[in-house]
Amino acid sequence: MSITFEKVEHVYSEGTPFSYLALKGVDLSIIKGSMTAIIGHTGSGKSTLIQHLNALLLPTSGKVTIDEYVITKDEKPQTLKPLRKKTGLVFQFPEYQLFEESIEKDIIFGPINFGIPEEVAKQKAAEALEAVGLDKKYLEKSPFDLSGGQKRRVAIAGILVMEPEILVLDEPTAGLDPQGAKEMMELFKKLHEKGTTILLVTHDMNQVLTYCDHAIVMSDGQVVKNGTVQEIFADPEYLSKLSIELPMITSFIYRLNQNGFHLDPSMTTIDQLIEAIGGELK
Amino acid sequence: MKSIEVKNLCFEYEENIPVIKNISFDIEQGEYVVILGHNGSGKSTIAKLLIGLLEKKSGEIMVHQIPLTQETLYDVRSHIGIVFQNPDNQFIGSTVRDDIAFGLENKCVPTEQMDTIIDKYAKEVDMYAFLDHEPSKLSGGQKQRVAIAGILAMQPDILILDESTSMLDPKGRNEINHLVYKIRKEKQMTVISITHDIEEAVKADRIILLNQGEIVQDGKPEVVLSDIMMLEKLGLNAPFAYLVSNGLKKSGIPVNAQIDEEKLVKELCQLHLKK
Amino acid sequence: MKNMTLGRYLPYDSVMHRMDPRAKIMGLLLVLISVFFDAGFSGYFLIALFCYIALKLSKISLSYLIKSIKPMLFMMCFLAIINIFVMRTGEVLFMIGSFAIYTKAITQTAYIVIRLILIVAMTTVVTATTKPLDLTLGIEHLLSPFKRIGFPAHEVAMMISIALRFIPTLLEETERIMKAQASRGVDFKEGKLMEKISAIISLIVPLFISAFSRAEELANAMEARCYHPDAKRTRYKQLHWKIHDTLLIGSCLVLMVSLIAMSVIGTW
Repeated sequence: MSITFEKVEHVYSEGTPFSYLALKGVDLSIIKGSMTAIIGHTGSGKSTLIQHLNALLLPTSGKVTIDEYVITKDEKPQTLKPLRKKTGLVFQFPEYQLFEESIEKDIIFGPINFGIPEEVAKQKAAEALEAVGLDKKYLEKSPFDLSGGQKRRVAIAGILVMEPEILVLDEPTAGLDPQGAKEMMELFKKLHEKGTTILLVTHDMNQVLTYCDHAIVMSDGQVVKNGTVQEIFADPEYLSKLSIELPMITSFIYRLNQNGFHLDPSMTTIDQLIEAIGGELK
Repeated sequence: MKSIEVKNLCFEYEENIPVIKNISFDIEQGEYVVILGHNGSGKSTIAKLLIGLLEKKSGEIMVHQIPLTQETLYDVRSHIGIVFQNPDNQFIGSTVRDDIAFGLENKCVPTEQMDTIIDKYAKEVDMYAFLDHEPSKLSGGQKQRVAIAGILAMQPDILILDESTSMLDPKGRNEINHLVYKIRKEKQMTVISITHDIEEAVKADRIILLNQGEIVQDGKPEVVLSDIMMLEKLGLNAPFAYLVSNGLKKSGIPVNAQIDEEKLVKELCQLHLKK
Repeated sequence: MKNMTLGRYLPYDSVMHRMDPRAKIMGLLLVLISVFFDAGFSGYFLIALFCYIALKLSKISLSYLIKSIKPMLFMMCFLAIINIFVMRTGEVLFMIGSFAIYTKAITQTAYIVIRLILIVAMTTVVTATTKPLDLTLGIEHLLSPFKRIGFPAHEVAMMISIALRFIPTLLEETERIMKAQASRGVDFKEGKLMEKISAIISLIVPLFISAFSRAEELANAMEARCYHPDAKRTRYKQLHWKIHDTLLIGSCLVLMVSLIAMSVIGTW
């Protein structure tokens, strides 16, 4: 499967005095089956970029290719609708999109819109709910009786139920406490292991280090770096110019290395770090 | 002087579902206290109880040595200010200027004095250039700065930050943390920060650790944050520096298990030099 | 939404812009009342002249005014045609097929159309020269004498100003929710009636829920900042009545009196 952007530009409010070029010629290739982070300062174009992946936005010039779908500004919306199922897009604070009287109804809302028969959808809804860590008994409850974290999981179940091949997540752990964030990321890790291509827009570099294999760095509407997570974090000075902080582990390693240590900057866990420091001090 | 005194406080949202279970604590004037806990532990509820937005079921609350009752609400609220989590839902004015003025209007500050006060506090939070901007044109961090300005303008003795950085991006979070640090240094305000961010808690004078409506620990960060097992049980992480230093200590390296990253780096570098 | 000209504020600096909102509101009311006196075409001409002067004093272009009347054009034509065929007073002027067109019908219809145009024109001048918040403040001041009989003038004004402040925020939220639901296969543009209804529900319900929780948080924030509607408060924004405001009211009064006189005399 391939996901490519070729010279993609996107202008908001074209032709008005408020027109704004959000994407300035993006060339990009996303690897199938990867878990790729999309990082960059606020306003760098991340949100605009991801909305091209399910054709919510069309490029004002250039083209986006997702397998057999080619998205250009001339595409008719009807031909692109199936793409919204293939690429599941979870916005920030997705709990705000819940509206049905029961959780079951809310989760099957998506599949029904894509023509999946109700019985099949209900079956998948139960599975999706379990996948996000909530018991089947919640199916009949009202989504508004739940806590914020639980609501978010229901909203995500509403996207997972459509069994997307590509899952795009916009800061899925924003506002969650450490435990909640960890559970959520473990869920995505499981999906990734099953073969879903995952794109994660995040400001949390620790998350990127722990869970992602690739990263795309954006700045001012352009992709400025694209590579493995190790490659991206190998240049801390460059990242700080883009207002991107390093993960705690990586930053710690650099500080020690500046003072005579020779630690491998591509380490990703605290246990590895402890072993490496211990090795150098013994 | 005691800024806050809480004795045997109990609260429930619904019948027989207690949310705050008999907690007691005192906070001295000028202290920087972090109330730490997972989501649902009751920490935001405490904030609302302290400022009288929720009515306690039983127990006593004294704010700036005034007992909190229905009659003393207005009086208490003039000593304590609170910055909430959502930057939009506490921005009342149509511009930065109007929002800071809102609190002044409520406290019957004479109109002639308002402009000077507004200018002063806008400068303190570095939003002077944005005085006539509308909230829809501001970032989350900027809106929170305006919220802080509006509260400082009312000159409270106590500032509560109720997860006020959890909806911000790292840049906004840093802005607010620096601002709060500046406020603590320059004024003698009591600051109570409610959060689940461990790295922020490291910097507190004192941590009150909450779990399901009960105080589990109340003490200095070095003590509270070094109990890795308990923190994990409560759904929190131990501070990064502590995990590293504790792990090293366990494997035989002569380093102090500590929560301060700066000190840890220094100690490790010294050990390395000695080799 | 972006093309809406009715009600939009134009940030110029003119004599009208500098007038006190209370004067403009009261003046508008006086002119609107004048419009309904039957002083014939000469009466309307006088009011139109008054409008033209107001327009010049507000630095608004005539083309802008015409643009804001345009949306009403269709409705006016429709009304006009219906009225012409329905009214049967006066003498028969001519026949269209088997329908008789009466003299009075033509003049009365013309009156209706002219009145509508004048009302829209004057209202546009006021809203284009007065910031929505200043209008709210003006309304609050004018309604505050009614506080004595229990009318919550301050609360109403506070509600309006908060609503205005949240319009951009709510529009953004609407867009966000639409995108979220579109990502679940909702089509807001195409579809049968049932699908369209389902689409709208998936937008309106979350918006309402979010609005309610927003309102609660806002109320908490206001209370925490010592707000109480009944308590005494000072005001940051002050209105200052000046001589030109008195002149404005004076001239509107003169206009109204002239119209009354003309209608009594029965000018054509």
